[in-house]
Amino acid sequence: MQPKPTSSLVAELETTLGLLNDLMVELQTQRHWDPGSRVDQILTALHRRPALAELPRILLRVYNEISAALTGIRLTREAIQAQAIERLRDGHVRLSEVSSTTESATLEIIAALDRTVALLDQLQAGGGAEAQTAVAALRGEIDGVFNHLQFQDITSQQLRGVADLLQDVERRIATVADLFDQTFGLRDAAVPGPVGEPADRAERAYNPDATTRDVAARQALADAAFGMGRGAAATASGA
Amino acid sequence: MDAPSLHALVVDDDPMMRVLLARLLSHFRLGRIDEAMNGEEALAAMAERAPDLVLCDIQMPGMDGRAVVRTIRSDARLGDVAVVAVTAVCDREVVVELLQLGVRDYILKPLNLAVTHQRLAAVIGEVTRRKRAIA
Repeated sequence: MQPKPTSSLVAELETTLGLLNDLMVELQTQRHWDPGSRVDQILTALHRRPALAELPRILLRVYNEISAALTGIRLTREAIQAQAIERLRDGHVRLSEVSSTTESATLEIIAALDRTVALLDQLQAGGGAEAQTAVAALRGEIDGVFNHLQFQDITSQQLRGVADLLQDVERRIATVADLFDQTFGLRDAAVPGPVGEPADRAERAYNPDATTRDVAARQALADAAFGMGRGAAATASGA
Repeated sequence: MDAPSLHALVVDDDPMMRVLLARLLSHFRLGRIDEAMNGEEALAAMAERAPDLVLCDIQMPGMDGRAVVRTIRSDARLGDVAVVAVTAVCDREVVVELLQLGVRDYILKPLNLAVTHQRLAAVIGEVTRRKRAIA
């Protein structure tokens, strides 16, 4: 026989309990009852409802269904922690590592270039006209490298922007996982707090709009604002 | 241009930018170039010895560049300090506020080193002339 849906069994059980309640009310007022009396009607109705006998089985089914739902929630929560939070954290750590490695490398390159410039000074001091030309050309190249090394400042700011974004997403997902914990009592897999920046980088600010693009155009805009402001200040002081 | 009597302070939270800016300034053979990694350090350095020129980043943790410039302007002892903003922030409001606070120039990152050298030469020349006139 196909089992009845839980909702239907619950409805039947509710009706049965209602009838039992009615019966108790009637029994409190009557010591005897005749065939066809209210008590008799209730007893007849109760005989037709076997749900009370099914109560343990119903409760067992309900328990099993709740257990299955909780297992699903637990698995979802574990998947959130394993797949989302831990991967995001890993991404954040890698970004910090890239930023830090690039910074160290850039500083090393600058130091090496400075040593190269010192060697060029020596060469220039002792060389002929041909050496002077070569040294001058090399100095130009070195200045170009210095110029390009600034990519590190801008890209590290951009990386910090992305790392902060990842940390924010991680925090939000951890909040959802905590919500599961609080609502369903899943305390055995606590979500660790977000990973902070390494100490040497925590004290750094970044501009999320930092870019290596259109520098000349942006400088022109800043100069225009600066020039206009200067003009206004001069007019004001003249007046 | 040599300016051995000048004392400069480079303020930037990025060590690479501090090195780069100090290197740029070294072309002018200044008397002294100090570095600070944030606003608080900069003010502490200025309290110890007032510089003639400050190259200041704007976006910094804690006390940012704007707060540093405001503090400089509110301190009579630092009234002659020339400040140049060196920043990746290209925001009209920030530019105008800094101009009103008396910043000499506003140079955007990433720097064009040749152009920055020219602009710094102009400011250093001006500071040197003023210093000579006062002396």
